[in-house]
Amino acid sequence: MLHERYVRPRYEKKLAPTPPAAVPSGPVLTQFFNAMLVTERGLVQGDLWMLGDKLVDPQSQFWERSAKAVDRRVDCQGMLLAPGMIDIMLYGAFGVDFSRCAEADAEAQVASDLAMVRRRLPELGVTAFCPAVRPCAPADCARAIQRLGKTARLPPPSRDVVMGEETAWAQCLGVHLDGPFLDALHAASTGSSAEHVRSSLEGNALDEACGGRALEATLITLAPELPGAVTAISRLVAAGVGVGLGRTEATLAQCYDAVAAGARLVTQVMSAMPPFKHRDPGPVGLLADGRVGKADAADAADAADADAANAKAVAPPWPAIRSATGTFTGAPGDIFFSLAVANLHSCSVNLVHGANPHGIVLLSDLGSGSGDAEAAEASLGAIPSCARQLYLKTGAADPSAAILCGSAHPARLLRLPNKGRLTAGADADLLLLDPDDLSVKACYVAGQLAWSHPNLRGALWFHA
Amino acid sequence: MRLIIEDTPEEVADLVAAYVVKKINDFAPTAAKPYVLGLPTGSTPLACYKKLIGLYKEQKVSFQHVVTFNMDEYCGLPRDHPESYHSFMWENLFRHIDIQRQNVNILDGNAPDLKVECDRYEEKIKSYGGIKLFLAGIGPDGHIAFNEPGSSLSSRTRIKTLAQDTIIANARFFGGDVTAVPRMALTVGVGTVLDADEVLVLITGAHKAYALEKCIEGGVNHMFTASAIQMHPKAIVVCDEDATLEMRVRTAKYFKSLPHREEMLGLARVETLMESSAKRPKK
Repeated sequence: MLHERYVRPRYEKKLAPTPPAAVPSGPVLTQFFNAMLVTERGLVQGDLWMLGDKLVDPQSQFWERSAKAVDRRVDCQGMLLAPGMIDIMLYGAFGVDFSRCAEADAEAQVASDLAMVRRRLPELGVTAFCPAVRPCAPADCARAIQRLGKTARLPPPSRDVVMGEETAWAQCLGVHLDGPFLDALHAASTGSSAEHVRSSLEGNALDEACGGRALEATLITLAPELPGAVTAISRLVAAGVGVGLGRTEATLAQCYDAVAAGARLVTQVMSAMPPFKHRDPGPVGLLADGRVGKADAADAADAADADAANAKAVAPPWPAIRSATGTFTGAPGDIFFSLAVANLHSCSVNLVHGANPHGIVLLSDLGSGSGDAEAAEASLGAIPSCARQLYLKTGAADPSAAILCGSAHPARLLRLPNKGRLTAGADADLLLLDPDDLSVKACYVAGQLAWSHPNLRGALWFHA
Repeated sequence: MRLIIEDTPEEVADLVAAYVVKKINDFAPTAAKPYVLGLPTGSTPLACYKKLIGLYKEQKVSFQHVVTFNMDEYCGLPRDHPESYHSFMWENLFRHIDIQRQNVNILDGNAPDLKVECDRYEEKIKSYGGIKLFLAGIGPDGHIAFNEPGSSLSSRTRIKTLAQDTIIANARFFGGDVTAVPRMALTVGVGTVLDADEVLVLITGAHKAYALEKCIEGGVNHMFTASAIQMHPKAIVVCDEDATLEMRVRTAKYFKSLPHREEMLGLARVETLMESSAKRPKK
């Protein structure tokens, strides 16, 4: 057992399934009770309410509803209730490799593969994801960006039913381009052939390498030391594309330039980048710079609030970073560090966690979709399992902070104020997690049950 | 009138919650025949609500067919303001139990016509055949609901201006800002409370000792509106030891010697009560 504080889960107890009553017309008000809520301020015992596909403030709902206080209730049986996980770099899963989605004649196949992955990801606790694409030929890159574009949360492309009710699928948030603008030294680490790797971002390189669709991606990981990188980053950021620094040999100064231009992520920190050195710490040095996104939990929550309210930026109280090309005035938690926890030594994890606990974004390790891994095997590399390892390796008092590294932090990275949090108005993408091992017991996407553990089936909906 | 003296505030909450549950269950309410309960707000009832929620979670009671009427609400305070009595009741009771929205009644302090709202409230109580059990707390100045000292003892639901000491006392809930406390409130009258079949008053803490003494040993007095329950045929006061500090030893001893507590809960027949109360462990 990981810790002593929780009520042990009682879901082994077989509960009599409640026959579904007539589903009320209009949005359904659901109460989750007996839950440990995963919040920025730690685990909170309590309940959570959702109306349709959004979380709501239950009080105003109560006074305004004339008849029943609640349509149905979910007994969480002491499990953790967490925001849905967001995987910002998913190479593939369930035998699908997103990098192969670019092949010219595979249009129909890609659509069905993507649908299959979206339908099955909830069982790994993932409610939204960015498919990652390795360096490839320009035409292929353009096709991948187009085919793996953003999808809506509702409705799923075809009617799908779980436990007699319509379900929803994980949401695709658009492509994460892992390259092709990488340092040649790290070309091999992408698992793609070196011929597609580009060594310059000057001139028209960005458009040329991505078939003109670079600005339609959601995230792009590049090496900031390449010529023309700063201009390209500014252009990407202005178009709303998130920029990550990775597979790089950059110096810290070059990283500051990239951050000043708007880069907000260090992709796979400590891997495929120079080691931490005393004269020039390189990209890893961003971790320890107090001016770059270091916030306590309350600040992080407030920053998320500010995001949500679209509040205008306030001048931060710390000195701005002056770089060759501009001035970076960061905000708390503004830089994120993605971390494949499973592959890192616990010393490295603790180093990152100690330096910047509120900037960690968990990366899954689903074996790049290469094999036909069984679901059980896949879940070992999935984000909830990474959260558990982060929690174990850092020895935190409770797992909420580790869980938020897979939900709230990526949501803030992608500027999705309605995701990753359990506040009124947020999207009802929810997970029920086992309090002992953080394994996924049920997953809700857009307020609909997308997956539940076989032991739980029939016990989750109570019609009030 | 019965007075029950418990050792601690927690025992007061236990007893009152157990009593409310027993009354509801004995009544066996249905949709056509709901149990009608009057509810107060404030720090004293809070502990009792916690116990009620606990008993509900243990499935000892259901509020499905319980109708509630709250005593009072501020005027002009938004319904969702954290200090409104709507918010208090929601946070501390309603959100935790299976009560139905249409069975919950709280005065609307933002109604376009407050007089009409008060009359409507009285009519609504009547339409259910009156309140079966009215729970109440009292203020240090002896007020029951917002019936400040000087209120008529035959008053009905109406608008009331708050006394200065109530405003000062409540400023702690409004960030210490006296000007932020609403000046007016809607409240049931003393007469409305006395019309209930049973009135149960909770009093705990040394700061309420003076009010309890006035309420029990003083005469019926419009300057201590809670004392009006002396006129009620079935009034119960439950207090803790601290609240008896101002009372005469004689009075406290008399009430402690009586088997009220067990009678209330229907625990035992009266013959055996004398023995069992003699055997109760002294603390």
